[in-house]
Amino acid sequence: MRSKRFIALRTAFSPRQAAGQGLLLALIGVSVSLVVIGQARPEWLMQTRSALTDVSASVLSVAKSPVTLARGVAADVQSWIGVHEQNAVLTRQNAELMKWQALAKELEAENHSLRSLISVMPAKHNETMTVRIVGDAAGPYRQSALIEGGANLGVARDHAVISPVGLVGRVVESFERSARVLLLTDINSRVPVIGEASRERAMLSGDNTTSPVLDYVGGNTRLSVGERLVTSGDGGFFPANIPIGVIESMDGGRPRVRLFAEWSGLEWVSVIRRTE
Amino acid sequence: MLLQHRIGIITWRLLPALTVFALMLVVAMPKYGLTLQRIMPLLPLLAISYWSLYRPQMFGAPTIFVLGLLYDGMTGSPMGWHALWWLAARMLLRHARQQIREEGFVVAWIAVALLTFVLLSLEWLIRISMDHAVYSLFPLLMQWALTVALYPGIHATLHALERGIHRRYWFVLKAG
Repeated sequence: MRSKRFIALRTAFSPRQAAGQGLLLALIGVSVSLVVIGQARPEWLMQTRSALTDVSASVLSVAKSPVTLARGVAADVQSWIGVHEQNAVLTRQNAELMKWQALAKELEAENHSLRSLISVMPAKHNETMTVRIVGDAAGPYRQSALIEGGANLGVARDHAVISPVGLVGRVVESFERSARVLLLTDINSRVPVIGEASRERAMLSGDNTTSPVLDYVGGNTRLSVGERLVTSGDGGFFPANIPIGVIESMDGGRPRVRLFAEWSGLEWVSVIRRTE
Repeated sequence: MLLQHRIGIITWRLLPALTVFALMLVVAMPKYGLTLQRIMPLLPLLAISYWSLYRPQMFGAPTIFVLGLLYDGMTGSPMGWHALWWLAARMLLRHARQQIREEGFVVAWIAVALLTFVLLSLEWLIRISMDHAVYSLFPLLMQWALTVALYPGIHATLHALERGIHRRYWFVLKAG
């Protein structure tokens, strides 16, 4: 019994154990220092962080290839099964869209002639770049995503990120070959919006739920349930008129918005590169 | 030594790091059609707890540190954030390792549940003070419940992997 206790004590205080404990404490100290420096002087760690994120993006890109392939095969099979039905739907939609195209061309010509009459300055042209989503930020605190494409493709901080149906978020960190996108649902996201019908302005604020809220809405607001919201372009971060979503409820004077771009189903997004 | 045996030894030595890395990828990869982001269970932490309890000599603190930094890159967390939590978990489990192992699986499960609860609560408090924002407790509790519920599965899988590789290459591992 006595010798067993002695062995246990000797093991607990052996030089190897002590070295292991020392190394563990030292690494905890390094981690704490990194977190503190990252908060106080983020620029000091920028290069390391950039390299780390680029490596992570490459690893995630390779790791998700089999998932992408499986999804592609499943989508192909599904598409083949319903090809006849899809053809009929598309033919009908095509006929409908041809009418809209004719109308759009007519309105474009009219718009052009009216603009030239009153000498309107042409709007800035923005380029878009389509990139793949490679990572999600999982957890209750951050709603962000990692995209494959950074400074190498001209992606920079505060560029708007869109999907085919609407705004997704904005770039908050741009690295050499990857970038991090802050989603509209994140608690730190703020986007100036305007009601398409009422032309009333508000601020779309994320609260980490799937339906962000509208702030700065007056008591006698003309905004109502079902109204479409688009970016107002105020502040210059986002181009105007990018679809955002529809108001789904007016609970307690803080309307909630159902977003058009559902993050969980997206594989590709486009980054709008501002041309100054 | 045969190539197959070399592969066996390398796989055995890298097994803890590889399993934690695989779980990091599962958490960080986009989850198409699933809205799990907010309550995603702490899968890498479960694997780290398992290896810290049952094979600490195969899974050193430097490996945890490097994996933690890589995970920060994947999830956009502040640099050093996950390395800190994972090393803290390692340190907490280190002191009670012997007793937990002797008491069996249920005690290990309870220990992991307590550990994740403590770490999640601390993280919540620090996040609130760092971000000056009030984060809802509901997703946090859901995340904790899911994490605890998944521990038996992770434990069984890692145990089976460990046993399988050891059984296949025991003679080489013993000699090496």
